[in-house]
Amino acid sequence: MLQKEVREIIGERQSRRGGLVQAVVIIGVMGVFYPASTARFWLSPHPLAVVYYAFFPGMLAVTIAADAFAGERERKTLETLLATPLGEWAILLGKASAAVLWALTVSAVAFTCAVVTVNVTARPPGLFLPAPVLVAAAFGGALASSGLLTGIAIVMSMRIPVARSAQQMTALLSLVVFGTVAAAWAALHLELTFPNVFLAEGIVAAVGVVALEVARAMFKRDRFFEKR
Amino acid sequence: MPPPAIELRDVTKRFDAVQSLDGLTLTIEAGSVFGYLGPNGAGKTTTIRVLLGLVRPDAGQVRVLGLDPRVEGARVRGELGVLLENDGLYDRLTPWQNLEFHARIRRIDGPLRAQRLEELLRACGLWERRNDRVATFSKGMRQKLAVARALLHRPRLVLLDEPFTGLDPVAAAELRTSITSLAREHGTTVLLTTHDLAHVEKTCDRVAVLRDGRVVATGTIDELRAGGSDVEVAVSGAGLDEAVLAALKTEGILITYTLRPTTPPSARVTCGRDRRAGLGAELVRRGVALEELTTVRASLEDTFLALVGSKGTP
Repeated sequence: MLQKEVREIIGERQSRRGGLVQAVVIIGVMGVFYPASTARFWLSPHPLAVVYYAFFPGMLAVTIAADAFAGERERKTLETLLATPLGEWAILLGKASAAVLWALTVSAVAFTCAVVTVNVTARPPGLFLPAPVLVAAAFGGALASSGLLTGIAIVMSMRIPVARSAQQMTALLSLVVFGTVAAAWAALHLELTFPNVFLAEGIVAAVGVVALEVARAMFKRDRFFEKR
Repeated sequence: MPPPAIELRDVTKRFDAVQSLDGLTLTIEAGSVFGYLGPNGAGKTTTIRVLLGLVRPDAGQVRVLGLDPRVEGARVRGELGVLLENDGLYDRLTPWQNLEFHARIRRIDGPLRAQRLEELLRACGLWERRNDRVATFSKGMRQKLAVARALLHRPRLVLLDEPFTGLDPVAAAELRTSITSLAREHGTTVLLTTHDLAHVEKTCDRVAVLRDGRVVATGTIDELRAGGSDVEVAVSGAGLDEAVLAALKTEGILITYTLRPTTPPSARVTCGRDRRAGLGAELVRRGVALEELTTVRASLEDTFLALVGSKGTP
């Protein structure tokens, strides 16, 4: 399932162009622009250097995950897929994995670019290699945000028959989710430290697991054919 | 005798205000090619979805290859090969990738997978196009590929929903041959729905006609034709004229007639099946020197339209 999803992502010329533009923009922001202006946080290291990994990768995942069922329905391939012996969990996991994998791949490229950018702009005495805590915070954030938004997007994709509408609804819901996290952060007067970042990422990841569980509970083959 | 491939007993399914299946009872013997006919909205697609475990019936019993799709859906789907109303092919993938995806699902692994894929792609004439995206294919090519996909794992039961759509006459004839050889040589059961009754006549051992969610007729094509209440008869002979035919109609012996100005005069008449035996004697009694009195074989289309009351399209 995962292989098919990846092949479809690569094979779609129109969305490939759109996805590529989106990826290039995100790599530009995450890998060049932002690290160039926050190089000191990379060197120290400070969570501000990678805080945006908790948002952008999720937005990348939404594009793929919202297409999971709504897109298959639009392209009239869903019924044939559901007529195979593939288990419901296998279908769901394959689609979710493809979305998260795409987000993590772009994040990895952006992170590598960021390291190069910091080396070029900050000119440290030796070769700068990011501290493990920075790597963990960045990829923890990428995994948590893409996992959460993938879960929400898949739920939306099951309920909304049009992929674009599912994407828009997920984007809207993600603003609510991230807004709530930011508001809670401010209300609790939490400092931006690595332990707090890991805690927040853990909570977001846990909500993501819940969202995937909701998707799993909702995913019953006969639900797609309740209407004639 | 092997157990039936498909058994449906008193199956009902309602979608909001629409009664899609209404006490559907149907048995399909293993190894047969079975035509499933009915006008649009008769319940054919719902039946297929019930067989696949994609729609849960409200009541009734369903057995597919001895399994209940509600309980053992994955096993049922594993045994079946399907071509649904939409071909379900991934446009962004190549034919090879489409078949490979389904081969992996069916756990056809190793060299056997490559061998089977090549065999199928060559058989459907798409080997040279195996690396092109399916989006660039014609309807006929897509249909051939979708049929190949349905046969990928050599299933015991194949459900084909409108498989002839988009095929040119040569390709349609090839598919008909494949379908019949599947049943004859491999013992595969084929359930076939199609709008083209000519294909049914040439392919199917038995047929069922569905109307408003229930079977209104089932049997071989000849049995179906013979099952109508009226028969059409070709008549000719000196003395056959308008007066004779009108009198027979007035007496209720004939239902319709069409007189033709031939030598000797001829006519096509319809009468009740119970009146057919005495028709010759009635004509002779009225002074007709009979030269021909032949029952005209009803077309499947006539039979079908009579069964579904000319409602909708087949």
